[in-house]
Amino acid sequence: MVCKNALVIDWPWAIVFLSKRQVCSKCHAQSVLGYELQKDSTLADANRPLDRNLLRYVWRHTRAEQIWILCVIIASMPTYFLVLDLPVRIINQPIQGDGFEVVGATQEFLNISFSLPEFLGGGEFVIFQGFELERWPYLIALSSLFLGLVCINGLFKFYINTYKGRLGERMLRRMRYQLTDRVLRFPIRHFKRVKGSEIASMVKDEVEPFGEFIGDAFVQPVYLGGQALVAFIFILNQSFWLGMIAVAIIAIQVTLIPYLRRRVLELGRMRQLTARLLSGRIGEIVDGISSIHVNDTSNYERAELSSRLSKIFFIRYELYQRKFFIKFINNFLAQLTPFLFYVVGGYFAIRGTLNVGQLIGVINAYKDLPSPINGLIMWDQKRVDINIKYAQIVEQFNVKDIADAELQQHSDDPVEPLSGEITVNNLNVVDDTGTALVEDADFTIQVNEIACAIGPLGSGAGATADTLAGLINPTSGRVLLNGRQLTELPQRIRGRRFSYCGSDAYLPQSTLLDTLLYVNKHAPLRETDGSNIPEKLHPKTRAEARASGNTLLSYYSDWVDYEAMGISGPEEIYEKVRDVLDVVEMGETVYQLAMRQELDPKQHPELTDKLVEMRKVLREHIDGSEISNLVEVWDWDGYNEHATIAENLLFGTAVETDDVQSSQLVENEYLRSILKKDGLDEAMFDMGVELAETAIELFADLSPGNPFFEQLNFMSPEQLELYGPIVARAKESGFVGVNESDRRMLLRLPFDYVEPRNRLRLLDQELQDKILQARHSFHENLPEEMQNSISVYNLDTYNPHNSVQDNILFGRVAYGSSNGPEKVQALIKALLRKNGMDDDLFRAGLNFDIGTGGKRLSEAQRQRLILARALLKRADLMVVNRGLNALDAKSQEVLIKRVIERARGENGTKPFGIFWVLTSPRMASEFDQVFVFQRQRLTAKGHASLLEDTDDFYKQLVA
Amino acid sequence: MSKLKDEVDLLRSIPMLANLPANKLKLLAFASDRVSYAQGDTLFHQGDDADAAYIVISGCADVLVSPDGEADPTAVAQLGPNSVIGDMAILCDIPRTATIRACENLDALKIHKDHMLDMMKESPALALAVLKEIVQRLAKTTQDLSEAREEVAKLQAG
Repeated sequence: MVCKNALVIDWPWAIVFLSKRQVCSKCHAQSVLGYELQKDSTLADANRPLDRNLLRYVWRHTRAEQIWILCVIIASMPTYFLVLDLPVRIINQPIQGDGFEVVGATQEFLNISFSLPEFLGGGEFVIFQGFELERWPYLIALSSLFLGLVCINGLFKFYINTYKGRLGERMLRRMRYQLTDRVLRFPIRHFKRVKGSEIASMVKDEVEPFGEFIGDAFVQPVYLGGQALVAFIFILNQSFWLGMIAVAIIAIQVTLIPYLRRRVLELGRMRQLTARLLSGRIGEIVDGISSIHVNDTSNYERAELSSRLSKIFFIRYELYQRKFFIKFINNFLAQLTPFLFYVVGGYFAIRGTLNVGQLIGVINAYKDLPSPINGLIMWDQKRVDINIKYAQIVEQFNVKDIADAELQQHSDDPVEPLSGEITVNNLNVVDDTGTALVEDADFTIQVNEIACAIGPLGSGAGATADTLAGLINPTSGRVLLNGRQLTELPQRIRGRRFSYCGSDAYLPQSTLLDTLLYVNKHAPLRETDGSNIPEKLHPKTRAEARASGNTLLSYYSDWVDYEAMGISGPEEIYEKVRDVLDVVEMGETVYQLAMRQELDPKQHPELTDKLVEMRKVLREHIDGSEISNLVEVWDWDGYNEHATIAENLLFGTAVETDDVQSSQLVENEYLRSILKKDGLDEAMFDMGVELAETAIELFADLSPGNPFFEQLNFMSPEQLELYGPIVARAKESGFVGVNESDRRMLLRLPFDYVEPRNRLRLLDQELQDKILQARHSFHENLPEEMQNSISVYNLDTYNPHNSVQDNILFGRVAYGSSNGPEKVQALIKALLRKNGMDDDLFRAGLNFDIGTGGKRLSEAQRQRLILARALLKRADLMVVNRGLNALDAKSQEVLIKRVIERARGENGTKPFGIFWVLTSPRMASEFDQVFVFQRQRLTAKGHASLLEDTDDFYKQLVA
Repeated sequence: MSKLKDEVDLLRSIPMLANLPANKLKLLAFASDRVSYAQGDTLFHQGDDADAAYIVISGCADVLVSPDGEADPTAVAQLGPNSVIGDMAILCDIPRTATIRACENLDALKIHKDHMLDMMKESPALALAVLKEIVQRLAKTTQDLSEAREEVAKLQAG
């Protein structure tokens, strides 16, 4: 009696509960051990092909965590059970009075005892007698216990869910890292076959659903399977035959559903592939946008896109149909069982072979069976689905001939300079289509030899250079450095002691300076002082990186190898950079970039202050000199003849994306109200009519592509046609009578008018005065919402929306003076130099953002930059494969001569060697050794003077 | 009334352009730049790529030629208002054959190569006028050459 009313913890739970600590501390130990093992075996792990089965992959990396979370779930069971059980007890006992029939009766609270099942001999073990409580305190105690348990249960859930989430995220992180790590080790030729956007879609999107699954990968089946088993045993216990009915139905489910699912899985795979191809295709559209425009194929692309989307749609539609059909079958079978229970069980009950209590017991027990079984089926469905997705990804990343991770192992130690000779024996290179690129090449060069290779495109010279640089592996034959195979050299030697300039000038987006220093970032050599970390790093950053098998090297360390460049630290970097940029004639470019840059005074307060200072110095210099008529400076009380009417009105720069751009000005209500005040709008309207008439008179019979249209600064060729009828209407009705839309169209025109440029004598002194007045009243009452859309010209402040040059100039260069801009620029440059601002601007120029793929620089500039950084790297052998082909012949010559001069060094020190595949063979005579390639074969070698006499093909090339 | 009008009149006074319709002349004037040079400024150098022709509005310019392109150039002619400068070079993409320097403050109308060529495509009359001009110059050059040869022959004989 006592036992029944007491708070009983069932024995199997209790054992688990009690022994939890040991098991779990073991788990914990195991997980710590796991990390250690992983650390030692990173390389082995990276080299092993990815597991083809996701579960195996997950188990390998999260075994300890999976076991731990299972333990926690089991530990949470008693509370869960009690939370379900307590409300019944609260209602039955203290509220309804069960056990409190006698006045003053008490109940035992927190009685902990075990009752052994009968097959273990029965009996009871009382651990804690509990407290004797009366009805009211007993209600309070039970309710408080309920509240406490709810909290504990909630905390368990919270812990389990975050743990599972973290587990999934770690696995995702590991997987993404591993996949990208493999991309870094793909053989170079493999990249001819893959699309960047497809890889991106796999690494980013396709692995995403795994995260959710990984936390449940092992826990779910164990947990649900356990539940199902318990319910099942209970049924069997009640009635063997009815249990067998349940077994039969489950057997049907288990055999039928995988059969139905086959097509679903196939569809899932197709869905994944088509989606991936779609992202690849969209990437292609973006990359090939110019050829779409020049060939008018946009509609072809649209049709192609639509056909792809339609394919995806029908795949998904069929998928839904089948999925929900399976669900229907599932639900039907689940309901079939109780039907059979009622019919068969009812029959036996009526016959009297089964008692009614048992039947009700079975039916009640069966209530608990379908949901875990369904859960299991769902889990399995997800498992198979995700496994297929996973296999699809793994297939793309388990590439043949992937580089050994050992080759890319990082090292902080400096790499000794190379010397000696490179021997090429019987070198043959065949590409993947079977075309020979090089046949039977045999030669030896000293590492510091100044050699060049010449020959037509595809003659084998380029492929030989790429083989030396390690971009292509020999198909047969050997390339030896002092007797050691070049292919076996780790990347830390090849990547640091060789430099390479190819003709493909792709540069990732970055600043100019970082682009140059990129070639010297091999290892995190100096700890960061924290100034380059944008926001504080999470304290567990390192631990989490380790737990996900990511590299522990810090991105924020200073990776630049200053010693390799021959300097001691970041302070000396600018001198080095200026030196190499001067070799490739980029010094002036960097200065120009600095002058064109828009600087934010908040980020560069000192520099912008100095520039404002320079503005004043320039003014003093100009005033009274012969240059004074070349520049018209901004003056609050004077009309600037060489600026547009819009600029004169606003007296400032329109901040981007705002509504004060000159084409939109006419829409601005506030400005219109200012113009109206002095009748300026009517004057401008008349100007507009005149401008439109002139434009129509001059341009009406020209085709829109005609070069003359470049001179029409206030109208576009397309607009010209519109203005004919507008002018006619305007002349008829005048300023007041014409409709608002026509008025706007005409008012828009004079905003871009510049008298000295357009020379139509439309702007007299009176009108200029009116515009000045309008400027003043415009700024006096500027509404708040427009305060930030104009950056006003102010002699004492730096304008962040103007270029450096415009900020120094603080005015406009006059139209019509010969070479005006050049003269002014030269003056500014001289003044900057005189005032020691060279270095500041050089640094500002190096901060220039080169754009995606370096596209904000010209191809020639990119190639120069790549050559410059190859010099900056101070490698022992510089391989150039037509690396300057975007430059004209004259510039190429200059650069080649300069690089050779560097390679010869002072007093014949020969600091590095060159293997240069030349675009213009005439330069061959500058080199000490010339290799002549013809039809994939090395046909002659020697000094140019020798070849001149002996080799006809050489003579032909050089001629 | 407008400056542009003056420039149209200037263009019309050039024989080569005289036959162009009024709106074309105005277009040419509109599209051209009015440039001013201080005394001693150079319009272009011998050997430069040709991108424009110039019509002198006021002032004068020296034509300087150096035989090998490097040595000190010598002045071979002086051009005044209404002269056309550099029209040949823009027709056939040859480098400038002489250096032009302003010998006093000079105002000129700069006609861009693309515009000139486009005008010629549009107007056969203009093309014919240009052709005439060139043939005349060729005839003169041929005559000069034969005279020069005779002189050389005389000198050699003497």
